[in-house]
Amino acid sequence: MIGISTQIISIFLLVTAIFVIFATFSITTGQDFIQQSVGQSSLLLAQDMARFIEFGVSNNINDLIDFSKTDIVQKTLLESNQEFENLSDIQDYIDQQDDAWVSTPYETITPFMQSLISNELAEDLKKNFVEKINPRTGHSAFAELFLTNEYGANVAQSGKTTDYRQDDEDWWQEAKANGISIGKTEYDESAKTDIISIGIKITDEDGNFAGVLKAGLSVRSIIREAEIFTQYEETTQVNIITEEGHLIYSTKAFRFNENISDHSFFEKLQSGQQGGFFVDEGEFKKELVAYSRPSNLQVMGEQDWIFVIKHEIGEVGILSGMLTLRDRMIINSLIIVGVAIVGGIIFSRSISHPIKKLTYLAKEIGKENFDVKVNLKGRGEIAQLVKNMQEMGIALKNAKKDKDEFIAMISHELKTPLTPIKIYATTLKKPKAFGELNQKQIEAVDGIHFNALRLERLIEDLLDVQRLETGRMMFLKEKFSVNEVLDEAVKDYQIMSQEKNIQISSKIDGKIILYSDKKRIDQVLDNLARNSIDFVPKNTGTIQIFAEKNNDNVLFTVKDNGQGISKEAQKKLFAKFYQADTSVTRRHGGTGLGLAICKGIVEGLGGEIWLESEEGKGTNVYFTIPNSGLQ
Amino acid sequence: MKILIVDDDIELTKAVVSSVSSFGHDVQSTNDPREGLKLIREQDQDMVILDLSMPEFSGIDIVKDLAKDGKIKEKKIVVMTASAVHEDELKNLVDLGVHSVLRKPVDIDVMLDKIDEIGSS
Repeated sequence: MIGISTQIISIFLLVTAIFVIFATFSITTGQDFIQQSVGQSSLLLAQDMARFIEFGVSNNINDLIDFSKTDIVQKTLLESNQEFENLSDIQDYIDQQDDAWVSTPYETITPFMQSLISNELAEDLKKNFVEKINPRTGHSAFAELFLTNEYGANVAQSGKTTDYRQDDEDWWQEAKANGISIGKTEYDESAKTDIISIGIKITDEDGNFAGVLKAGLSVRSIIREAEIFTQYEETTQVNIITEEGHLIYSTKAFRFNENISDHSFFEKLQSGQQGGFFVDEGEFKKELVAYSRPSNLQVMGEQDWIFVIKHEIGEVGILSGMLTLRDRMIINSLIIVGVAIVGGIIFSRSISHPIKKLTYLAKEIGKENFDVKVNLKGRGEIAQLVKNMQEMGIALKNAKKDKDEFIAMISHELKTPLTPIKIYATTLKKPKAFGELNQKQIEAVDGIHFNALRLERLIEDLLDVQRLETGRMMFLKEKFSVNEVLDEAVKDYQIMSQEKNIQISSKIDGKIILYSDKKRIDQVLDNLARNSIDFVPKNTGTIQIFAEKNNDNVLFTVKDNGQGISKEAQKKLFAKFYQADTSVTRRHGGTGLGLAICKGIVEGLGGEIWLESEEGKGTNVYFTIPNSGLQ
Repeated sequence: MKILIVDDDIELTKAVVSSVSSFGHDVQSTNDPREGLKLIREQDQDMVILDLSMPEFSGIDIVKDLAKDGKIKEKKIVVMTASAVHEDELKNLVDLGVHSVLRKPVDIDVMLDKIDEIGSS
């Protein structure tokens, strides 16, 4: 059986464990949930970034197209183209001029180049684009612009250019052929910023090819613009990375074109997906990475950008609260477990301690130790129960005392009238006393006498039990011969055994002298012999009484060939008022006290009593009397 | 023989008187211990059968009273006792001059033997 303490502590721990598991589960689920939602919103942010940048690029292209249709552009190009048509060899002219062009950006500007930077159209280009500061971003959208005529020769430019002739450039040919060319992001030395080169085909009023407008769109300004439209937290890291792993832009300090292809998350970006998010477990940190590729390929196709939004999971960012919560939860759980264990121990002690006392109390009262005292402080229900139980013990003690006294009194009172009955019967049987009786009268008087004796014996048994229970059984020790005791016992039962035609005999080796209570030993033998006589079969019954010295004891044996006693009954046989076969009570009139008295007497004299029996074969009852006084 | 029996149990004394007198003895009885003492002192008996345990004035008190002036030496007093009286007390009574002790419950055969024993002495 598991003790109450263990049970209570177990329940406490179980409840705590469930709580901790549930809390951990909730946090983990919460964490996952937050990761999911942060991932989703990051993905949206990345897509927004992509869209805003596409939008910015498109807007600027539209501005350029609008500009290309202005009168000054049309007029300047018309004049230049007409002028070139009049030349004898256009290509040769361009080559000549290009050779005279000082190409290096840092060299001094030649007067020819200067004329193209400072003409009316060039001033317009500067005014409308390069020097036009966007009040939102604080930057201008374009780093540089220039126009060529239909032959690829520069007509006007906002700043220095490396060449005079442009028709040998891919973008020029592409713009002429497709109407537009959008170049890859490049760092522009002269503009000192990364730019996207945009070439726009310019047509005249009749739709004929008139020239090309080239513009260097500032990546920084477009991103700045997009940043303004997309709100994000300080902990959000926005990156733009090319498919090759070159860093175009980052809200974190970066070097342009830094290659980050060896970073752990980069591999996962190359899934080819349009967008998504994942958790990247780096060596030093754990990051939630969301990414999106541009969707407008017409505008952004050349850029192969990946918009990447990163959130560090941990120290900073949205998840940090969750992680703090988790850490606190773990600490709190540990505290709760500790409190549960200590609390469980204290709580269970407070319950089991009084229960242990109660158990002790009940046990002691069960053993008829009614005066047992238990100290239990407090006024709780259990303390009250202990108190009540002690009172119950006292009540039981009084009840038992009353019962003992009552039985003693009643037995004594019952015995008193028996003496005159016996005197009258005995006297009646004597012919000399009241005269001769006829046969019927003699039988009647015998009957009265026999039953008076029987009643007397029952009352004696009852008194003996009371004496044994109350410890008032007196033992008067004397020196006597065990041989004589056995002889007398056999003699006493001679008449009874003859009536039933059974054999009763005794056997003893040598002479045994014992110093003990002869009368009580007689009584034990008497009880055992009577039992045997009751249970042995008529005509074939045999009863043998043995006595022998056995170490420091004298061992007495009463052996019969009666019906025997079942194993079940043997266990209870020495209990008060027990009869193996209740029908025997009616036939033999026993009280069921005999063996209990025998046990009380034998144990009172310091010996032991036990029996061996087999059903149908017979019973051996043994008892020892210590020969401390054996001489 | 002239016998006096002193016992507070009326039924017992009646039975003893009935039985013993049927054997030709002159049996007198009383259930009052004080009257018993008076009868012992004032009359002659061959034998007195005295119950020890009587309320208020016990057989022991009677024996002690008789022992005071040596009157007990003239009497053959047999005391009847239940186990309640201690052995040492009984021995003390014999020392005081009690003839012998009979055990209760009374066995009339034992009592008749005792009467015969005293009668033949």
